[in-house]
Amino acid sequence: MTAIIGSLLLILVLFLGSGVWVGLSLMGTGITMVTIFRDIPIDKLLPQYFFNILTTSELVALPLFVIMGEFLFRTNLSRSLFNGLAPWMGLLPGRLLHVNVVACSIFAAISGSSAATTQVVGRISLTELLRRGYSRDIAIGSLAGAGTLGFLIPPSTVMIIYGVLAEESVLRLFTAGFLPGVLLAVLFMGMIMLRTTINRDLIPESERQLRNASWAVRFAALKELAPVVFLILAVLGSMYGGFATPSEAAAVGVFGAILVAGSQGGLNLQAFRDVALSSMQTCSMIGLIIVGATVLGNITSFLGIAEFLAEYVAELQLTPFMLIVALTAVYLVLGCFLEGFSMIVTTLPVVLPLVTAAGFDKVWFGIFLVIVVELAQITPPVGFNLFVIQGVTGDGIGYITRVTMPFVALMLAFIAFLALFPEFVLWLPNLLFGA
Amino acid sequence: VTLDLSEVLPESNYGTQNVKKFAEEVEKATDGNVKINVHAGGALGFKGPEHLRAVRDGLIPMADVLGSQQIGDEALFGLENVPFLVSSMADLKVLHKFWRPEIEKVAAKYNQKFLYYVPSPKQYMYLKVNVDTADKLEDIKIRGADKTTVDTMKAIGMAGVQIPWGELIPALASGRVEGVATSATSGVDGKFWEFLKYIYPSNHTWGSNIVSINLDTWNKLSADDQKAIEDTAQKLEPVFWDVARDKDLESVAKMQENGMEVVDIPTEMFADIQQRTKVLLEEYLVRVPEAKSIVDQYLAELGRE
Amino acid sequence: MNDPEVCADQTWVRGIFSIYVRVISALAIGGGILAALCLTILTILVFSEVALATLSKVIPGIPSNIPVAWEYSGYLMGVAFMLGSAITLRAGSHIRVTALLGALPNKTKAAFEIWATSVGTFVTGFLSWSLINFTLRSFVDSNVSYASFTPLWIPQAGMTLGSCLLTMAMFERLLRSILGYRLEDISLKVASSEDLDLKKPEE
Ligand code: NA
Ligand code: NA
Repeated sequence: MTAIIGSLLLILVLFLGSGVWVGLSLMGTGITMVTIFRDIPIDKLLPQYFFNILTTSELVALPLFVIMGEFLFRTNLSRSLFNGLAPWMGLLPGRLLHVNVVACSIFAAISGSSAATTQVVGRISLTELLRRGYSRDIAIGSLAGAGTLGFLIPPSTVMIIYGVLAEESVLRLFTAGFLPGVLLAVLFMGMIMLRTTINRDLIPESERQLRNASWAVRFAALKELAPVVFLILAVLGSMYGGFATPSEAAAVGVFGAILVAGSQGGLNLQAFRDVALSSMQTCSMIGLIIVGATVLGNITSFLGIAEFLAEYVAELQLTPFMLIVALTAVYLVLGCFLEGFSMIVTTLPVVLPLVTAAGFDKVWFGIFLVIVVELAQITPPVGFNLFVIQGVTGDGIGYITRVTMPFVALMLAFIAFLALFPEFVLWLPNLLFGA
Repeated sequence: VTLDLSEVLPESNYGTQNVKKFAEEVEKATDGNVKINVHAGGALGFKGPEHLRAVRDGLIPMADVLGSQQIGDEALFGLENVPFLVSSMADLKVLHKFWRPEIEKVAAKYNQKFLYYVPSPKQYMYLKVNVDTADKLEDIKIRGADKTTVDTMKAIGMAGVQIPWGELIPALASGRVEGVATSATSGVDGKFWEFLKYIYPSNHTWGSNIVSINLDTWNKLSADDQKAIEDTAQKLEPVFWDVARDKDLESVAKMQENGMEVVDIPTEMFADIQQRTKVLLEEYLVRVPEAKSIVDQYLAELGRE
Repeated sequence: MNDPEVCADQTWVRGIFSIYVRVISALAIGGGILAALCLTILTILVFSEVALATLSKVIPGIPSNIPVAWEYSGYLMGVAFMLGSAITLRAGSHIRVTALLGALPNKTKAAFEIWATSVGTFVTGFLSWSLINFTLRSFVDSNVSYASFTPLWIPQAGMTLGSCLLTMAMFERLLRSILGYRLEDISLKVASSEDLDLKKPEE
């Protein structure tokens, strides 16, 4: 068995490291492994796998969320979010810095992706904060941290992928992500308040008068939030209100996004063409990785690798908490290089049996995975959200990473909290859907 | 040798437990010569409808084949699913007497051998309302797992809906569907009592899970091992039929404990339902003429029409 | 499509290659258009399903669902993913780990590029060949889906076509990497919320 696992890792690292496309590396490794170790007609197995994976109805929500994100990208949504929130955030110590966190949390409730969340909020909010003279460090750091909430606060593409692979209810996962998402947002805001209170230079003196704004102005600003509230109602409302299943809610979101974009006058033929072209490319990109990863996952089942590793780690007799610590370390390292989807799908066949054997709930583990994937988005050298912010501000990756570190530390502490109090994750889904 | 067996049912399902029991007994009976490695929950990447072809092509040496999922390849598998053709396990045994020799020819055509058959548990309709005529069932949105079930529900006059199991619970919670047609074990899995109240023992369709082995694999086994496996299958099949029946009763009891009520369907209503779905048997026989003689022999043996 | 480096030179190798490039580009774009069409139909199909379910609560008599909505949206998704794959490769949007490659000197990097694209050509070529056989067999055996009796070769043919396009684009890329031409056509990318994900730090 060590020969099998050894060659699998070797082939995989060779392909991935030498720059072969992620999906094809995974598939190529699977094909090679079956050819060497098993007598199965791989030329008949592979197309059957392809057909099965690519027509999985639970995956249909994924292209729909991608399309919705593309429409929203072409709206003024981020401008209205900023205008609606700014007068209210002026009340808190830390002032408009909180717009980053709150706008990200709100946008996360519409979007399934954290890169889209960072991008859409960052475009307006970051430029505005820097123009007003807020500390660059904390403005960029808090956006990088809060942008990752796109995955944790439902809806979430990562949870859909995990739900499909782990055979866990997507709605349950969505529900479980809600409280941790809100708590993490509150923790980010707490960190902003703490740091700006200790070091008053982080906020320009002129911004302090924001708290003297009139309440009439504040309430008037709320109407700016209308399109966002409309979209949240469309997506989450249709799902929890019983009009649509989680996958169908994504289609409702697409039409909501079209309405919003249309009402803001941003929709012409060119925009539709761009949306079609870019969502098609994103879908193909994700699709190839999912297929490759699932093929390899199924083949590792054929080879008995998952069972073997599960037994091996069971023999190590790690305490559940130590297991989570070990897994966090592994994922932190993987997350530096791998993209979030590939990270989940490559490791899940091996890791899921371990975790369930250690007594963790599949829903809990899904939330844990979402947070480590979020971390992977903001750790160098390959961190998508870092690139997104670089695209907005033009700063170097090194600098962006450095200012993000406090928020990374906070998220690690948050994982420890969830490992110690798993009930916090499971409470809401158990309340709504039973244990 | 170690033979991989693909099972799409989850680990906890009694179907999987049956197959695991079979694997254990085979290992004992062959003195460890033949080990069957059961991969539950579709871990090998198969979804079920391709099991017949996958075993034929040697993608897997063994599989638990669900008959109703193979009707796209071989329509003869659909005979068991014809609504109200079979009304009890005793009837099903009679049908199998005439059906199995024919379906085993299909197996041979697909380069495989069927080792044993276990009936899927009895089918029920779960609804929110308690009605006493077939007319009152009309337009109720009810979910079925496959085309046959949905067609049956539509023939009754209900609004049959085909949605994946994973989307069912939210759809029930929201009222998108107002009923489900499925087995009692699935009813317990889905905690139907949270959404539905009445259990109708409609018993509309039957079906079988068939454990199959690739013929090339089979022919490579020694004659002793072959005999041992066949004997084990023969010995366990009646046991598994009992398990299917017991699990059904257990599951119904569990749903009752949770506040659901079993409806005693009035004779007239039941006859009405049967009358409405009769057309499906005729349609089936037009589509699959080779099933005609099986049905005739079956009905003659039962003394029906 | 317009690749000045290729078109400028008139030697016959480059001439033939430039024709091949044009054909592949056209095919990849055609596949992309079909893929986008599939995604559009998919969105409309799923949305109609919600709309019907909601409306049928209010207006009695209209059907409460589209029986094949789930099954067909799965087929549309699979076909869209595969048909869009070639243009996605041309645009440089398929993900690869470039962290290690980025550190290498240019000459070594070019060798790795040829290696990676060779592996890509081989894997996608094998995939296309096996998908062709798979689809042909479905067609000959007239396999239909158990859920709706839809002939399976139709969605399978869509995926197979997509895979073949990807293989041809991969082979074209292999020739480019050997001949030392520009590998990707960034103009095929449009400004999108997701493609910023792919922006590498060096670029
Ligand atoms: Na989200
Ligand atoms: Na990273």
